Amino acid sequence: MRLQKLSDGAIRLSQLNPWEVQTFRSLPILADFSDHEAAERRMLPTPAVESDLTPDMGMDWVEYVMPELRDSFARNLSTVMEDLENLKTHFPGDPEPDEADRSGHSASILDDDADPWGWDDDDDESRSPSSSGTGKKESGPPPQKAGPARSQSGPPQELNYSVDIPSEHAELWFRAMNQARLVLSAKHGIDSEHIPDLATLLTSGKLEYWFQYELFVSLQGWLVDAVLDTN
Amino acid sequence: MFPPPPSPRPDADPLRRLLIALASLPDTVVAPEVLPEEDTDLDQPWHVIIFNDPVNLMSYVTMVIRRIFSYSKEKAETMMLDVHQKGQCIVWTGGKERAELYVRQLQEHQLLCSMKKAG
Repeated sequence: MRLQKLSDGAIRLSQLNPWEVQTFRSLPILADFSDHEAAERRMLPTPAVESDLTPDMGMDWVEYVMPELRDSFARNLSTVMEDLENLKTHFPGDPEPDEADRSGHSASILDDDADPWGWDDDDDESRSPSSSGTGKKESGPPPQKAGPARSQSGPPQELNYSVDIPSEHAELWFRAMNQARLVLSAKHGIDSEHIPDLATLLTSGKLEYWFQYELFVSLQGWLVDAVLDTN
Repeated sequence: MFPPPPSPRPDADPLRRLLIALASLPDTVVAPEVLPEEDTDLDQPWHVIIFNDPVNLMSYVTMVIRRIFSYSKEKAETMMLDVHQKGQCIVWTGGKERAELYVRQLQEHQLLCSMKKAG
């Protein structure tokens, strides 16, 4: 997967493999907490600690605030699904979709040899058009930052996908993935502080959940650093 | 000769005055509302507390604290580290209604948080 912040502020996810696309499309299922009490308590906690929670306060929260929170969470997920309807398919050998004049902050993640957040402002080479993966002079504004990309070794040799995310949707994507991770944590005990060994993952049947969790962590980390927290 | 005693005024009779007063009362009398103690105690400060959780990214927690409370980056990072290392941090103290608003905003950002009476 390759991540780019385009010159107009939009986000481009490219070089997505079928599993990554399927994982994003599964977000509403992964983030569903309706059938799990602990997950629901995590997503919709009471407003006050138990000793200070009055019946009135609790009832008002259930009646007025929780429906708004549910709506907000549902809106995040539906926005992701709507953006994914514009997914583009790229066949082996196709030029990369970033050959348009929209280039900018980019990174590859989940690549063994890639350093997703290792860009360096002082590294002139990392700003060169060739390092953005196209090897072609760009007509748009110069990239603000550029990271390593798979495309340095040529176009992807397998079927892959890309999707553009409007800048105003970036945080909704973040929250949708966050919700999925919170629910995965509540349902399956997968989180960032308790990393199981491979044998445990293989025998517990949670291996795919773990990969999904890690995919979301990677994308979320990039979104916070490169897009959301710009101050 | 003495003048005749004045005749009593029609409303001078106490019983009659009482009947007139009762007739002027509304059909139902509403007793003054006595609010429960917690509702009258609006001035008591409340803490807004963020709790650690093993899922939310530290950079995201910092960003949300800055965004909601308009704190400096340094203050927000200090609070985030308190959350991470000590398990919780009081991020704001003040009136109940504002505390509820902050908790609602933090929950919308999916942070684990709650409010608690100060003191």
